[in-house]
Amino acid sequence: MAAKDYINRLIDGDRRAFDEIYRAYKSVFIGVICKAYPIGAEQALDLYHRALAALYNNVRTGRIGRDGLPDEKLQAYIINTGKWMSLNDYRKRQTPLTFDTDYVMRYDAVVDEESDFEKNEKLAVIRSAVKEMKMPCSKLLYLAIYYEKSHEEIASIMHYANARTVTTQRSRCTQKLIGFLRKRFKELGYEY
Amino acid sequence: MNTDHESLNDLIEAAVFERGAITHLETLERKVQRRKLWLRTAIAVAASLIVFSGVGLKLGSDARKVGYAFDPVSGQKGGSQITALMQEREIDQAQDAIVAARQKLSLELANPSSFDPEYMVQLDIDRQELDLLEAVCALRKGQYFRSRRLLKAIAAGGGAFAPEASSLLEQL
Repeated sequence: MAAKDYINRLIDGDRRAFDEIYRAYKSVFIGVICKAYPIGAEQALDLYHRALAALYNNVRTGRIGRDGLPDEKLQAYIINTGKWMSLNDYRKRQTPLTFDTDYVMRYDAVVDEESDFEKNEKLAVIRSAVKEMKMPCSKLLYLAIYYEKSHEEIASIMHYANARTVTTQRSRCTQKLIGFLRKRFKELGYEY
Repeated sequence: MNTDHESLNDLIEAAVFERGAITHLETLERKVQRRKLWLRTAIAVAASLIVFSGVGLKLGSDARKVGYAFDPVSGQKGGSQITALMQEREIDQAQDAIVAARQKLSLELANPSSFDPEYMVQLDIDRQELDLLEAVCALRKGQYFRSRRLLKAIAAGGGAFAPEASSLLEQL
């Protein structure tokens, strides 16, 4: 069977590779996770979504480079990430937004890692703030960051006057989010 | 674990990307489930149609066999014309003749030429005979459910042709 070369294709900007990965490993992942942990298929599916999101984030930030994760290792990576996330959920810990491939592939080392309480809380606050973002910031930031649309394209989609307006609006949204997070961290007794 | 210090900007960007990816996958999953449901429904409908058509064909065939195996007795009121048409397999024309005979009978019953009790009984027997011939025509046309309904009514009525109707029902 020909290699799908998923990771290299993702690096080259082929977003269909992400959907293909989703379909390729879904049943195996859910089967393994449900067998390993006392959770239902719906929860396993949620873990799968999060594991794949983490994979894609690691590709995007360069933590997984070209030829860094061949197809034959991809299944193990995704499953190990899912197991790690499940363990974190159980221990009420936040999985980092990005992490090294070596780390998750040495799953046994993950079990004994110490909790960083401050980092944990901050990650939880960040994830919650992003999830609860309102329009137009939520749509604008998703288009810019996840869908990697140019500011010209975003202006067209969201009916802004021009790309410069999008740039201004994006900056405003980001600053609003940072302001909210700094305020929240302070309330929790943290500095950033 | 990677302990690089990440700026708040980097973390926000990573969190937005993560949420975007998860939302995309949730949408993908909903599409997959909708497609599966559509396929399952389409297969169920197709299977039902196949089964229903198959059953319908069999029942129709059974009804025709029973209908043609039965030899209708010619009676008094236009029965010979109707049965002749049935013998020649002109079922539609036979049914038209039954309708015409019923109309004539209704007029006769409404305004009988004689009030002789035996005459009135004969008119009723003629009506019952037309009911039976109508049921046999339905059988010969493969109208399984309609013929069953008509035969049940005749058998339940306990009239002159109830035994024939019961016999035909058993064969169905």
